[in-house]
Amino acid sequence: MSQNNGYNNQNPGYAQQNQPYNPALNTHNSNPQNTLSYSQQYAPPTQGTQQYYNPAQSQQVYDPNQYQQQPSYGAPPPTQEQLKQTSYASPTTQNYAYQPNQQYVQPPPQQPTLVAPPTQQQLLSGAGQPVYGQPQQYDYNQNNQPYNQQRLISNPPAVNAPPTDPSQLYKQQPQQQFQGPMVQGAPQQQPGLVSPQGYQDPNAYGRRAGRIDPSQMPSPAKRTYPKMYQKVEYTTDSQDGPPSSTVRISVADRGSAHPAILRASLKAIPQTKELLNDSGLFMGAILNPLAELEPTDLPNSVPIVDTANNELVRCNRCRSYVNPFTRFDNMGRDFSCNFCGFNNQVPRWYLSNLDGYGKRRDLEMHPELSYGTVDYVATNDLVTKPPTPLTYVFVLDVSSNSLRQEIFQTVCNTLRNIIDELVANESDLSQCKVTFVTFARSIHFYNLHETHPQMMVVGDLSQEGSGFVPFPQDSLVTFDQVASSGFIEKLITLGSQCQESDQVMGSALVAAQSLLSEHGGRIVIFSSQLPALGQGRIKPREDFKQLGSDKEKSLYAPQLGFWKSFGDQCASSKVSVDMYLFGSGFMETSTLTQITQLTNGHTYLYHHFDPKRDSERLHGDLRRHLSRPTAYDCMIKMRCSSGISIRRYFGHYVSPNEDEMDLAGIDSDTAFGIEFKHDSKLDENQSDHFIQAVMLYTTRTGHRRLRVMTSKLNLATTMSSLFKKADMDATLALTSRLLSAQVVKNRESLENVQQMINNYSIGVLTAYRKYCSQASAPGQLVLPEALKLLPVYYLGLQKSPCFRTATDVMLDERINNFNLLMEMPIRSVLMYCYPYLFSLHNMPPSEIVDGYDRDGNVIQYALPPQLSLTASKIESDGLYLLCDGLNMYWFVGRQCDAGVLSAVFGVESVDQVDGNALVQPNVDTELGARVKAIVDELNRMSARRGMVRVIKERDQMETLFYARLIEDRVGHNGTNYVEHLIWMHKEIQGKLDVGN
Amino acid sequence: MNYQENENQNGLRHSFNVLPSNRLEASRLVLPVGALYTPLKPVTNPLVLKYDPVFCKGCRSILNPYCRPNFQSKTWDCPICQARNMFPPAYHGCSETNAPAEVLSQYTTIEYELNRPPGNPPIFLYVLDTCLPEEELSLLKDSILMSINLLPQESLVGLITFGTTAQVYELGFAECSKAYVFRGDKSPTHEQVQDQLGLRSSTFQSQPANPQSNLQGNINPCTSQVASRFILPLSHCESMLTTIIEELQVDPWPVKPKRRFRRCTGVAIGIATSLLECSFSNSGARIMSFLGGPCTLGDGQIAGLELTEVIRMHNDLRNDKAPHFKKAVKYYQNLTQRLVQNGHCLDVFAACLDQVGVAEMKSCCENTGGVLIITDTFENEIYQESLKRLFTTNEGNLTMAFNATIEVQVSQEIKICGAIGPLTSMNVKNNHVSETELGYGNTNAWKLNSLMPTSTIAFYFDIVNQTTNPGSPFRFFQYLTSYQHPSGYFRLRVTTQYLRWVEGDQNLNEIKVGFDQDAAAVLISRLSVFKAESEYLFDVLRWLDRSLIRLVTRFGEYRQQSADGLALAPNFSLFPQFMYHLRRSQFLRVFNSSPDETAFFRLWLNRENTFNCILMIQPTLHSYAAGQAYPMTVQLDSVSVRPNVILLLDTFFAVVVHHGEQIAGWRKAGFDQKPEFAYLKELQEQPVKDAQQLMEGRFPYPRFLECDEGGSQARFLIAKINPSVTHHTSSYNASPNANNTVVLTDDASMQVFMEYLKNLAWESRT
Repeated sequence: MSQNNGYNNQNPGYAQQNQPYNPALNTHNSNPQNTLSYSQQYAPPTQGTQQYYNPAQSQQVYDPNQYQQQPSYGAPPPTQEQLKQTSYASPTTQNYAYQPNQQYVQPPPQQPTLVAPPTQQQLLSGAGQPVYGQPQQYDYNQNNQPYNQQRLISNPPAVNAPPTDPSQLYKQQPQQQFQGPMVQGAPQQQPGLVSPQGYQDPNAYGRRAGRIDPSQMPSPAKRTYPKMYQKVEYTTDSQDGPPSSTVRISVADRGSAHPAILRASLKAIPQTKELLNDSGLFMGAILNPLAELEPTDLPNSVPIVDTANNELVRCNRCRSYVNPFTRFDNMGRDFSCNFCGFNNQVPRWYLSNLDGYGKRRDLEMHPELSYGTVDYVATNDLVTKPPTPLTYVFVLDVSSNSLRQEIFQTVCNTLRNIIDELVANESDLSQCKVTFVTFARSIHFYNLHETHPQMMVVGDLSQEGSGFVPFPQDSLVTFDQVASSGFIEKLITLGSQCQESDQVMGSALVAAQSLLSEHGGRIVIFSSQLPALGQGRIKPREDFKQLGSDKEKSLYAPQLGFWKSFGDQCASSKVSVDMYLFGSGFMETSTLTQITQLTNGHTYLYHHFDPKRDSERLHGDLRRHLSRPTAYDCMIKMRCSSGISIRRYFGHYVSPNEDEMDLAGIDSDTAFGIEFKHDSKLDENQSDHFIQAVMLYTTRTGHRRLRVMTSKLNLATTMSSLFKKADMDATLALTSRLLSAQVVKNRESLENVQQMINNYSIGVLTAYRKYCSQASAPGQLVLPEALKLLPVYYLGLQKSPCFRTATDVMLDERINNFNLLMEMPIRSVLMYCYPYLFSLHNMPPSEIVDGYDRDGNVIQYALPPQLSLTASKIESDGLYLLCDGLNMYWFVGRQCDAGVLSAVFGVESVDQVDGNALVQPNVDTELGARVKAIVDELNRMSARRGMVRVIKERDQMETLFYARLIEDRVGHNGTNYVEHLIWMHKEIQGKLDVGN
Repeated sequence: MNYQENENQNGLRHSFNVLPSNRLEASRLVLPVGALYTPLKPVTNPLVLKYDPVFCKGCRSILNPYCRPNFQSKTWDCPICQARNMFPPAYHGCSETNAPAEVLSQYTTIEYELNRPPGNPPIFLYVLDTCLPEEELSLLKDSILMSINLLPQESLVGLITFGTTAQVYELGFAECSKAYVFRGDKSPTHEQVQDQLGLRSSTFQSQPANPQSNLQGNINPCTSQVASRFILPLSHCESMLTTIIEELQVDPWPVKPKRRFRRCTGVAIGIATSLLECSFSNSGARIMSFLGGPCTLGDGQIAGLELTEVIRMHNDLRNDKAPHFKKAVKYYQNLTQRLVQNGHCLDVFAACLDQVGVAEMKSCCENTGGVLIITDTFENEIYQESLKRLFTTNEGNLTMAFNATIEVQVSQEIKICGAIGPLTSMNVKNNHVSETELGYGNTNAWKLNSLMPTSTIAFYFDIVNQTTNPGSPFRFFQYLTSYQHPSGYFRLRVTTQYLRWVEGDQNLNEIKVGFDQDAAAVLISRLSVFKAESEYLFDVLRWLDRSLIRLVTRFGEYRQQSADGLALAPNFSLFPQFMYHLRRSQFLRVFNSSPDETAFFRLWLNRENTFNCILMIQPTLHSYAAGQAYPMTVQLDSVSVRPNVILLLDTFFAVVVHHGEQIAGWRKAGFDQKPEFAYLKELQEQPVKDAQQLMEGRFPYPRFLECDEGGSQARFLIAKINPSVTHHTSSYNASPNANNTVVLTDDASMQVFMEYLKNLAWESRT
């Protein structure tokens, strides 16, 4: 820590900057102390620049020892840089992730003229235009900073500014900076000095001019430790917005809905449309109606209100339901609607006198008047047909392809284990009905009603033929009976006898849908290949040449026809479809997933399925699939108090009309985005505004319910109050949906989307700068406190497999990610944009928390401190785990300790680590047990199990891992985080200057 | 020759045993010249030759007792075409004293067991309705299990069930019960069935055919597929089959109140046809369908789902108000063609209080020789016993024959008009085939996919000789029936028969003497029923009446030169009665029957032997009375119904024991239980015993009723008897003899009928 102090002494500004990240000290955003001072970074500490020029000094800067002592969470050994140098600096290695993209990166012009003014001119003239440089200049370490700074310089005012302009000062640095290595030239030059870690090196930064210290830049990795295990208590009536979704919180419902269920992107509604537009923010909310509540939440389950079939009490004008904010008066005989202000009579059955405070005396009897989320037992008028428990149909591929790859057998065994377990635990699943359908050339049903199962083969696959079923939905049996009959065992035998190579996935789906057409239900289909026969047969488009080109977006477009119309058919018959696609080739995901989109199901991709490696993942996915809260036959409608209304919904639904969503099914891992719009200017005297989401649904156990979720929002009359109440999490989740929709619906190219993300970022920050922090020095990059993580998350979004313009992302995966982005709950979006990275070889001891989980076990909070997503954190003797909620990457350093390896992989040396093996930590060791706990915790947090890949350093596969380190350059066009901020700052300044 | 003797020896009866020798005279016979032939009749001199027959090179008729063999020159003359044939070398050792069996005079009917490898054992494809109430289904299941026990172990069996959908069971699948399901609302084509069952050659997998399959010479891969998967020897699949049948469930689709089951009978039978068509074409097979109600789904539909829609009655058919009828008939006729082509037959066992659509399906049974049984419930003895009797065995073999063709060779002056029976025309035209078509004609060969021992075919002939000179006095008929014996061997039965022919005008008496009124009655009633299918009933009745009048005019004798003086020879005397009862019978008077029942009755009339047919036309009535040693045959007349007698009526389809009022009263008072009235008890038991005897061996098993005079069941008797006393006669003619039973009908009594006949015949004579 002494080093740290020294570092702070060298840059006194940093010591102060540390403080703003302490929430306790958080004051006003525009307080310069709370901001990252850009100008200070580049203020003329000539000493720094000089030092930088001096090779000797720079050597000193990158002194490995010094580096080692740097206050980072890990203690990388000195060899790391060298290793990195060898692995990244060599042009022959062709580092995909660190190849600077031409668009953002200007390669240096001729080196000799670096300092000379003409260079700058050249740079300026070339701004925004790709210029290709020599390969050796793409050295990651050498170049990325300068390039970005070149971008910054490209700002005309900056160029023309007098030398006193701070930008003038720093604009020289880049050239010098990248010149340095060039001058040195030799590959064996101090590698460290050009390593990414350089940015985090306080000395390097300080001396260089930089006041941007990466370790001080806002990052999700920083705020969670060491207290991340502690639960933050939050009451929903709080004036402040809810804490970040990545933080463990325990929520007391005091009238507004739990933030996991309904979370507004602006806790305060801007008074006017103009205010909103100027801010560049999105006004909306993320709704996850079935979100699971924590045991520590209050209440820890949604209260159920039974009105004994009396008509539910709602406003006669706007039809919103009574809620904790409804005011009763006139001795309890009237109530005025808090949404529209209409004065209603209280129905006779609901009458209750008021006490002295104007509260109803029977308040305790009415949860709907106390809690933001309540369930009503549906009254008769809401029940169109008698609800039944949810019916599951498992549709399994038994074509020879599936059997050969052991997909069918693995799925069956997994299902059997899960069903046995869930039934034994008396999960509500056990009362649900279930049947199995297998298919290859023909479709096989199994009648489990008799003492011996009966196999029924349907071979009629003609247009009118498929879709008929041998028995009705009512004759199906429950999970209970299936578990006790041992049928799945038998199914494996029966299915394995099939010897047909082609399959009729489309017709099988139609058959399953017909089976469910009476009451609705859920189809879970497992398919090993594209259907070559029957309905909806697909010829895959093999236009892979289009990948990466402008035409790539045409591949996102689904093939219409059967899959679209059948999806509509499923949706209208309340049948939700989940797909597990195991194909090893291109699976036409865009076409197939039309069904899951229209029916709000999920798609799971298992490319190159290996039963040994992936069965664990399959088990995890299926188990969550079957155990999470699930409902079907849903209708969601959102209402807002007067002045604002619904602009649009984002999510997977079908819409019978503009203001409601119809869902065939829903589960706790599905969230929706809702964007609001202004109808009129809001009354500034009315400080409270409300949103209410209502979902009519049938629970898995067959109860018809109406869930009412109400939230109170404040009013923002000024820009500063608006920014203060902005909610980063919901904003990010909303934006990501909007962007996904841009690609999926509007067929925008990925480049345009990248541009949009930047525009959003810049728009918001510009507005903030313009309206809220006028007082700050013009050179400062000022981030609103509430949204200070927005740039890094946006950056992460840009670099996510979804929007990354790289050809290494498989098309199916990308398309599926679009779908996922549309449906993920907030926490998953955050994880997706900024994955968790842990170093496992040097973890501090885990934290023990007082408390119990659902099963009564003592909770041990497993997660170690999160690392920033930059390669500088990766060291060669380390073992790392990266999880973005979809995929899990194990990164094994070449010099990883044998003890660590044996605890986690059960092998002695790095070479023995099998990239395809299942990771089974040896729980007998302390580390193994800990790692297992971490993995379990991550799996609990992620909506799906995702791909698990074990990657060894210097493996082909390591690109996968590095691609997710989003604070570094990723792909051709990447900028690292620092560069990104600098570039943004420049853009903002440019905008402001134009504005002025 | 005595007719009866001829029937016993050859299974043949003729309406005219002496023929006129030219066309004109033949037309003056009034009634058709015809024969009733029972190909499987156990004859008095049975002989099975284990070698192939010797054919005449000219007409393909077979060496027979009438062919005048010349053992010296090793030649024989064909009596039919007069051609001279050489004996084949194998016969060269024959001589007068060592003649081959087929030329011996007692073997006018002889069988050859052909020198061909035996075919498959018979195939029994069960097609079961599952749209039944719980208890009906369990009765059905029991009876099916019972029938399976009766099948020879080597028979091939298959199973199809149907309801809303049709299921074909893969009996060769050992893991579990496995069925291929077909949608019920649309019948798949032959190719689709094959496709969906995985029988198309392109889809054949390397599944080994069942090695134990005792099929011989199967080269068709489809056959071996089917044989290893769907239609297996009973010995191989009995336990699987039994399990499946025991576990059959009522069709799982819910039936809304006031609606019918969704039942795809037509589709199921179509699939059965296709299944056999692709694999066992031309092997004897029975598709045995068990129906519990009307077809309401898909092709062959006869009724809608709503119970409010009443199933068509004769009235609707007449007025063209049966929306499904024509379509369904067409569908089943198509099926019939395919069944016939493949040599398979369809049996229908229907048990339903309502109709099940037999009227539409009847062509499938009638033209393929399948049996048709209709009852009200599967519990009914008619069903249970009939099913049992279908599998009667004789020396270990079932008493049925399969896949038969019957060919008729006649002398050149005779032409064949057609035939009526459980058969289909093969449309083999040659110069023996007449232009006039009666029944199924235009051929000299017919296909009979299934034959029972009593199956009797009515042949109709035409005499085309224009000259009056009779020439040789004999004209020959040879019936060649080749069939698959249940043992699997192919047999050929040859019956050769000659009829004398005379110059008609001079020898009317001879012709008269040669008249067989029973045969004639059966021939004409079959013809009239055949006509009734396509013509207005009124026309048919008028045609019958005119024929009768003309017959009486031609062959009657008028002693006193007046109408009253009509006297008919004994061998004509019953004919008018037969006609009277035929006119009133359910075969032509459909007023009280549903179309299904009519189809049922007519089918059996077209099939049974002469004796049974006469029984159907004019039932027999026996009377039992106290102090009477033997039952007395009494007139089928209301005068026979007396309070103090017990009557035993046999209408072939029903056997009724009718207790006179007094006897019933005694019984109710319990006199028969008292020792001093023991004779009463005996009196009551005797007719029941006799009834049992009557029902012995009858197929279909008749309905047995015991009723009391005046009881509701007595209607079975009352409907049959001649209403000599009706409410008309009794009110005007109040007879003091109140013993006569009054029959409430507007029908003319036989007496009235005869009066009219006499007068009209007299009028037309003068």
